[in-house]
Amino acid sequence: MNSPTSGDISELRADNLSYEINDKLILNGMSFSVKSGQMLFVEGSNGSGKTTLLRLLSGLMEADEGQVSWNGKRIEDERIEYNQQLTYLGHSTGVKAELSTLENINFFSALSGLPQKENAQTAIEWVGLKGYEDNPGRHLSYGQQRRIALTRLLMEPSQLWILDEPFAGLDKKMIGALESRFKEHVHNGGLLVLTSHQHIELDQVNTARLHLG
Amino acid sequence: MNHSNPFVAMLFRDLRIAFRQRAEIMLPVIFFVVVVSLFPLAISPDPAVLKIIGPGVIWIAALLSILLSLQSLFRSDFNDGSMEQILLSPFPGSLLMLARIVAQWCVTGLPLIIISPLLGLLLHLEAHVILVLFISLLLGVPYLNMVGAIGVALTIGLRQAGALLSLLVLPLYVPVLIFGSNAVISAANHLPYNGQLLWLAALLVIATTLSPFVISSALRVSCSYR
Repeated sequence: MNSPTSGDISELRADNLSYEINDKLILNGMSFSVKSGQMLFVEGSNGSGKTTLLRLLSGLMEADEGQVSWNGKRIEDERIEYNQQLTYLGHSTGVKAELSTLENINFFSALSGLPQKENAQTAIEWVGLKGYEDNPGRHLSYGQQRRIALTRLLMEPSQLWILDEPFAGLDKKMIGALESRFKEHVHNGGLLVLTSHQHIELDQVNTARLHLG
Repeated sequence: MNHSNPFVAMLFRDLRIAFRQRAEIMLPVIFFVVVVSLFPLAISPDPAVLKIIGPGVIWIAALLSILLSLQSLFRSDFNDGSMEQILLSPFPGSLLMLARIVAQWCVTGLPLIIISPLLGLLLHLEAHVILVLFISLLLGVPYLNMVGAIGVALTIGLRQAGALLSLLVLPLYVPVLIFGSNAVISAANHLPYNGQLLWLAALLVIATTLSPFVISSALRVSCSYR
């Protein structure tokens, strides 16, 4: 697998982020930065604001105060460029119950708007859904639906991955495959921001830890 | 099929999903036909009466049936996380939303427009009146879809949006109802009806050009307060 736009050093930076939900300050003046070849592991108990932070970083929500910037530009100002470089995976997978595995994957590819690095068949084999290509999403288990969403990590040529609980609902084997994919991505100059309740240790990966709550 | 163009991909995805939920997509059309055909039974089968109430009845039924179909628009995308992915696509959100509305119109508005001449016959409208009815619906119903979608986009984040949605959207539907049914009544009375149709066309142009932007911004706001 080739590197995502190799050579460029990119930076995701959060400056003084604050966010309030129901008069409760979830994030209070948080600043940090992640660069190419780095992983940011966001830790914290339930309700500590991990998902909120990731949604702020992805641009789905705007912070009450502070800003998120990508290579020095506010992400709100450069949304198209930023979205091209971003793969965001939230709690909900975005898998449609009425569409088959293959149709779901093809739609994700079309939505990303860029030529994909791998074809759908390779990605399906990677996530272990071979034989389920034509099964509609509603007939698949939660773990299998998550796997459909994970094919994007193999196909999309994006540099920045923001993953909210990527290991949820997955078996050991898939978690192993995912971890080695993470390593490969970071070593190829990608950026990775993720939350997990699972303790993960990726050796030889430049990891920053951020503790919330 | 692999559509590399996101607009086409979006359109085909929505149509495919709609045709796999046949019972749901038939509901607005069935509602439309049932409401219109109940009027002769409840009021009077007298052709003279039906000729007078016919245009209004068909227009009101069309309006309510589109309003009914709005309830499910964007709902599943919002719940299963596809909306987030759509908003994070590098492709302009407004064009993706236009694709969604076109798909929605294909499964709710279009069948209703196609079947309307038949209902015109049922209500004893004359041929040239039916033609005007058909044109007025062709111009007016897509407007109902688009403006309705704005209402949905604004209220989708709320838990019980049904009543609020109607409250928001109905005032914006009234001009189209007035121009639409009035065009048909004028045609029935051999009066000029071009003015009303041109008004409908103007409203349609405004809605087509502006609503996709409004919808995508409104959805962005709705998605950010979850």
